[in-house]
Amino acid sequence: MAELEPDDPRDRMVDMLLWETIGGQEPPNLVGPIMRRATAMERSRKLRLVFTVAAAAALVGLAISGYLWITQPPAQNIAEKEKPPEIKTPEELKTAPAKTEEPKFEEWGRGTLVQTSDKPKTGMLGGYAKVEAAANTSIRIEGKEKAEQILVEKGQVACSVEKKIGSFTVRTPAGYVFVTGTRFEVTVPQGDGEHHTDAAPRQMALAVTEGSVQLCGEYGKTVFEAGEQGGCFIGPIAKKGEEFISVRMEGEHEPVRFLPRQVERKLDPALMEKLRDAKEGSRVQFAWKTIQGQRRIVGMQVFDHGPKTGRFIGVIQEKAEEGIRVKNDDGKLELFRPQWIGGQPQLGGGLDKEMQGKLAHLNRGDRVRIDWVFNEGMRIVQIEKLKEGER
Amino acid sequence: MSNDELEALILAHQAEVYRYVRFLGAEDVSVAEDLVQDAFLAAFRSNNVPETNDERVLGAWLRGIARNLFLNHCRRRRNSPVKVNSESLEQAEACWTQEFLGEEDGFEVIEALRRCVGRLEDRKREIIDQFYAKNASRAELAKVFKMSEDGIKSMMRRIRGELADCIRRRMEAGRAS
Repeated sequence: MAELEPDDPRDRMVDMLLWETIGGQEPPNLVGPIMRRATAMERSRKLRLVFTVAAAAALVGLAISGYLWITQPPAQNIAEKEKPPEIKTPEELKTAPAKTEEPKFEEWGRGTLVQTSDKPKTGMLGGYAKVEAAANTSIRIEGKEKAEQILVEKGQVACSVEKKIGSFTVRTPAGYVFVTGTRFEVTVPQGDGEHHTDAAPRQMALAVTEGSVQLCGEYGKTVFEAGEQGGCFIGPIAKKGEEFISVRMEGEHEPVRFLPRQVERKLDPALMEKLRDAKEGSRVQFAWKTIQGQRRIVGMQVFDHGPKTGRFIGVIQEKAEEGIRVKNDDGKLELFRPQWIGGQPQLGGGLDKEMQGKLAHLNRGDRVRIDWVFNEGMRIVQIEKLKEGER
Repeated sequence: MSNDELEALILAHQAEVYRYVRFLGAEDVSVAEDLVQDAFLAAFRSNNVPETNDERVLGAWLRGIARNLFLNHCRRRRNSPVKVNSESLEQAEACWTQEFLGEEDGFEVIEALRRCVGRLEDRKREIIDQFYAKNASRAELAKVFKMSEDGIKSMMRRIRGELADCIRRRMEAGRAS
């Protein structure tokens, strides 16, 4: 909430609700953390009581033994007092067991590509984030000081982050996980990191063992608490019903069915609205959680609602960094961007350079005809400058 | 209060208390979560639990606890961006009970907001999408929409005002029908 105006509560109320409905900052489920703290509180209250009783008993015991020691000191105590201190020989010192210390892990520097074969590897990032890469895992170290980040291209990582030092983000092709202190595991199926294209389904699985993390994607943010499991998926809908969608997931023979979560004993109306907009074959990104044994969608974004291709004629209103905004004769304003080519940026992918070159030669006020394809927004396949009045 | 009673209380009121502390001005999600947890633990420890099953009474009691915790939180933080006092918090409580809760549990307001957002003009919709969903800063928005940062700030305030009016109209229409 960057724009607090405490003197205008109505404005602030709408601001708060926008963060929830659009920003995905929905009220989290805090039953687990509060109950754990309440139980710990009760236990410490009981412990305090036991300690008080024990301390009182010890005090009485001490007083009695003090009295006995003053009146009749036992001979054994004197002998123990006079016993010379034990001196170890140099050989004994050499062979004496050293104090056990936490094993030190290799610090992985930024830009490092960590690839494991049949054995796992463990490394540290920034001195506060421990990352265990399982066998057959490929990760790239990114981020910056106090904001460490890794990209998991495939495989599984278990992370343990110390609190109150810095943030830590795990990026995957399907979404990213953001934490400030916790333990969790992220799995990216083997096939997802390779031969990546915009259209290929991508997925990741998340299991939180301690603390909480935020799973982020185009749909916003979802909080996962300790003990919660779920994941994220980007890809086409294989089948759609009134209250569910099915998608093809890595390692599953049949499409897997997902239902929207329940809010106040009803299927989440916001998710149901998005579900209504989607069609079989629509490309979606969603986060899901296992709730009472069922996979429930907790956040969702539909990327293509309507026809997959089309033609748009209008006048360029604005040349933005990412593309152009064009208004048609009916006053409809749309943003068009060049197509994304070549997969992820680290694999050499990026916006279509040839089309960027064409856009550079067009000006605000030019009338253009655009053939487009929908892929996470309208992408320009072909663009042509028109003469005055030409359609 | 027993553990079972505490769990029932959390299930019934956690969403509202969370929204309430965010509305009061909890600066981020983690602060809001901490305050909500502390509020329920204070309720758990309290010897003055209202002897009623009326959820509205229990909700008001929990909001009172959360309000005091938020006030203490702001006092502890010298550089808090939120300047609050008892009076401003009382005004906030009045707004919350009248505008958000009304005669229901606030769910209708959220539904009304979703519909009102859907009816915004494209440009306004895009501004709030960029700000709230994509976390774009005012400086970034100013660049994209070719406006000054102050212009973006005023525009967003106007959009929120428009949404607040739309919500109120919908709520009044709902009550009338």
